[in-house]
Amino acid sequence: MSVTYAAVQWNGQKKLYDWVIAAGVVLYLGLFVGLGSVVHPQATAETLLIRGLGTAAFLLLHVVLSIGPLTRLDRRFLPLLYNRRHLGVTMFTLAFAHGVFSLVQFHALGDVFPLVSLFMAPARFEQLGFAALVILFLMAATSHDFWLKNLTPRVWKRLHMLVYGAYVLLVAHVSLGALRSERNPVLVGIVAVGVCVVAGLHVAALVVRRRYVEVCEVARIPENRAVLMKVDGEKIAVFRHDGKVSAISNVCAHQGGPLSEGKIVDGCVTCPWHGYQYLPETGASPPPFTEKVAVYPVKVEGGKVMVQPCAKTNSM
Amino acid sequence: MREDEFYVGYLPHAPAGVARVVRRAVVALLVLVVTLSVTLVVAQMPFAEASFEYGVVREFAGVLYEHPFPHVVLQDGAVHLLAGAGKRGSSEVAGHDGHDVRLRGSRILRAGMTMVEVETGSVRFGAASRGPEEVVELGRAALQGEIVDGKCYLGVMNPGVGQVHRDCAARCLAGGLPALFVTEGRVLVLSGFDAKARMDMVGVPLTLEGVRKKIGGLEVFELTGR
Repeated sequence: MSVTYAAVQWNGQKKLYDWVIAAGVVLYLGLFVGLGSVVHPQATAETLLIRGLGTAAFLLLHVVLSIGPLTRLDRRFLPLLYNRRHLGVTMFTLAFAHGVFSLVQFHALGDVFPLVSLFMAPARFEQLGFAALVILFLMAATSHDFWLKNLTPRVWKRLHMLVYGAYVLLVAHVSLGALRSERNPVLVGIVAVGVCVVAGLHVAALVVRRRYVEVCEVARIPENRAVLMKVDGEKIAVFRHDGKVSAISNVCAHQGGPLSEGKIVDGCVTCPWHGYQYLPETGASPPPFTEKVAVYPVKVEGGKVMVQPCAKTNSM
Repeated sequence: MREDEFYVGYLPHAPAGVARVVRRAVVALLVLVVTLSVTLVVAQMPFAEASFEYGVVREFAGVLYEHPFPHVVLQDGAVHLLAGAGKRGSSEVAGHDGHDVRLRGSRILRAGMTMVEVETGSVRFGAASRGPEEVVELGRAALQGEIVDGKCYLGVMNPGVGQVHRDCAARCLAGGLPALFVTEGRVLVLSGFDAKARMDMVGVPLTLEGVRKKIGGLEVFELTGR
């Protein structure tokens, strides 16, 4: 939380986080280049650096993409999410260095400008990497809260969801490039495991978010009234009305009144504090009003009410 | 983790249960970092025995020939292909086929073949002292292999073959560097290949049809079709 913008609002946790990132990057690059020059004395320093930077960025992208679903599966991983933007900027920096070194190595000092050479080149995998780098640059450049506010959260979120596009481009970049040159199946296996881990964690998080949780017996809910349930930390008001059951956020959009203590009046959930009303199926106030609260998927099985803790809509 | 534990990033310390899990995650990640870096280093394909004597400038004297690519035949009979700086051919020697020549440059060496990256401004020509090199036709052949640029393949880059190096090879050949055809354990100088028009043929496995020749001390494959 802040009332002003600062480049980085440092605190102890962020510093610790960044020290761990720096240690990991230095350890990886030091081992890759140092050990590489011993195991492969014929390899040039530029080649080892290009490969080290590229693989470090690709590994870090897997870590970045895994943190989100991991925290949904187990909240104890939330500290990894806290400073994830620094992890992302570090990953972009490594990828950018990889790109610049590769551009110089493979396209500079020729008969055309290096970027022109890149787009004339017959092996398309470098162009895929360039496209991914553009996306990663946009994300890194707008990672600050200044951009979150000025682009609006919706646009900012959409822009940053492009990371999945960048990931697909980079998997193709690696598969059509390095994996076609390096024929060791171990390398193919490592990339396949990485893709499976990222995809598996996302699918698992989705399944967990979409699972139905039994909250109470239908008979326990009085007609046109609600009971308050806490599911995965969410306070949900479960109403019974006209033979149906609805689940909406317990917090009124007006002044935060407890909707579970309200009543269905004229087909609308009515807040006990100031009478604000919401349609139980959509969470929207009846026209011409525009307030909205989150609603949750709900079903009844064998007399038990089951709710998905993942909201269908929210008040944003 | 106790149910009431809640992590807030700007507070000095994480709750004990959360901190324990994160410490384990960090240790696991560092183990992954070490394991992956070592595995990726070891799993790379071996690098060829090739070298570029970068910064070591030598003097060479002999007779210059321009076909199929500029090369100098030294007084002891050794043949050195010539390259310019960067990804460019040695344009300085154009128009002096058969002339005595003295030049300085750095050697690029691989498997008995030598190329010289000519130092700009170092070339001095003598009289036109020789006629064309002897050409011996060795017959038609269809060979499987890969088109590479001579400068990178012989040692300026390592690896100088394959998919990862493909774009560089195309740029080098478009810049006029000698084309080589790496085929079944042999490396032939490739003649008659238009790199600018057929960049798609560079750096990929393919079959070429042509005539094998011996031009002076160079083994040449002259392209007649794909």
